[in-house]
Amino acid sequence: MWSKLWRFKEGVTICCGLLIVGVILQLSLGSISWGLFAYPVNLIVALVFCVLLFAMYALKKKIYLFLFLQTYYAAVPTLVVVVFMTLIMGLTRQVPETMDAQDPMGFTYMLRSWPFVLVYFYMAVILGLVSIKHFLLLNFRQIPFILFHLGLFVVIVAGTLGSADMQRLTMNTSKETPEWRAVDNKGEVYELPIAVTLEDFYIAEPPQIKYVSKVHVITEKGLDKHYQIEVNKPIRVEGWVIYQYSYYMDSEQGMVSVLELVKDPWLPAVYVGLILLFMGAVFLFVNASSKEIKCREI
Amino acid sequence: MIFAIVSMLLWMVGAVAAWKDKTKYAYVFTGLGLLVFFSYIVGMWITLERPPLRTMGETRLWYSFFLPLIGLVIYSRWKYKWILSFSTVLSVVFIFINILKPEIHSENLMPALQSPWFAPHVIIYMFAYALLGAAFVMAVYLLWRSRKTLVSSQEMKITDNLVYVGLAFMTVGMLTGAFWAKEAWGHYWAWDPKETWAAITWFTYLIYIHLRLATSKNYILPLWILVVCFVLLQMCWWGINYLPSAMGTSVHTYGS
Repeated sequence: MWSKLWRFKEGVTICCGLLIVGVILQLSLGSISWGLFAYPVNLIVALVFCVLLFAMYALKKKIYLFLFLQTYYAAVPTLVVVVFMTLIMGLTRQVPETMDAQDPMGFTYMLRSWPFVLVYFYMAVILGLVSIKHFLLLNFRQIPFILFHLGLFVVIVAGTLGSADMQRLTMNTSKETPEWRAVDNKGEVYELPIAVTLEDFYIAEPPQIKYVSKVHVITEKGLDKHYQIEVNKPIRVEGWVIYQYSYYMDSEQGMVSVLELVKDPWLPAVYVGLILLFMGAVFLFVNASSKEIKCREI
Repeated sequence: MIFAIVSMLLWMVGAVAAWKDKTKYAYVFTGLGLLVFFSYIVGMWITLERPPLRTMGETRLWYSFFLPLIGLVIYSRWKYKWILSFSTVLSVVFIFINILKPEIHSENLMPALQSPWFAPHVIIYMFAYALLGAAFVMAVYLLWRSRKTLVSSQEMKITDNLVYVGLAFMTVGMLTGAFWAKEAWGHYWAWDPKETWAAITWFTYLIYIHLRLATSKNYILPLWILVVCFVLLQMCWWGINYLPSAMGTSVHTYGS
């Protein structure tokens, strides 16, 4: 082992080491707080990560590990541990976002558990390196590979780091009173630059049940507009997406329509990744049905 | 029900014709069976006044339709006589489950499901499941046969292609789900149990693909992985409805 060339044995050993490191970090530091990555930390981390990946790629001839990470012998064990950790997640009931993990390993809040995050991070490193490699050796046959690897890389990195900046608030709107305060899932109140007044709320009857809120929206920037919000038909106002969330009857205010306001500044980056994946799938389909797929091994 | 039985009979005749090398009859009967079954689905669409895609029973319906369709495509390309019999048997199993446990409700769609993403999401997924089901059938057949004869590279190529195309459809199914989720629930991926299991299944098929590319001469291990993949896929499709860790927490469980 560890004599060149490295094969599955080395790949598996690295993954096991990673899991052990993850467990040690989890037991010593506790679950990861993604809140620490709020802007601008996440942007810096993302940029540094990309620069490091390019540096690793450039040093691949000097440091064999960086070359090895681009091979299938590294990829297969990584996918196996990714499946393993995700399988544990699938078999463990997850606690609501507002709670902390209920077990020392953090498996009941898997997205904050070190072993899980490290394994996905390691996969992101491999995806990044492979994307750079395929990109530089541009070859028509490799297009689905570039699209898949780069797409997944972008989705994982932007989705994870962006989650620190995502805001999901609920706002209770009632008739004739403008509302600009909203609460997050921990009950903290936020004052928004958007005021919403409910004009009408109704439930359309069968055959198509619909929950409809007619609202009047005013913003600090001077927007003054009337909208209709339905389930599946959110509206977009100055970076916020506003959803129909729920409703209830209040003895004082009358009908209250609960709206959800979501702001996710990293969404465009994630969508770029999703679209790359989509194009990758289309190319994969075309390639698979037209000719045999071959991928060059280094 | 009558439609289903007529389709089953037609598919069986088609499969027998394929065994007996009567290619033309195999095409005609399987095609007719598909036509009859599809008109049943369309009829249901009209009477329910919504696409029949919501319940487990309704998705099984699509699955029973896509299986012989994919069987027919494989048959026409590679002339595997046994594939039509296998796809027919699998399809018949699903039709029988549906006859015994219809799970088809006539209620209206809940608002979150009234989305243009809904039909493509489910149909694409069912098509992917059917392709990957065909890959599973191929894997089981090759594993069973490998005790006597060696698996040929040509046969592995067919299996690879089924997985590639199946995975392509599965990816698109997942993406349509993500775009829809953003519109309906505010987030594109929420690690809902169904999503977690979809990720598990997706990554496991990627293990197969990478392993095949890494060791192109080893056939037995990748074929076993395909069997595992298919078990995970079943877990993702309906198994999670019975999984304690997922109960009552998924936006993917409706009705009943």
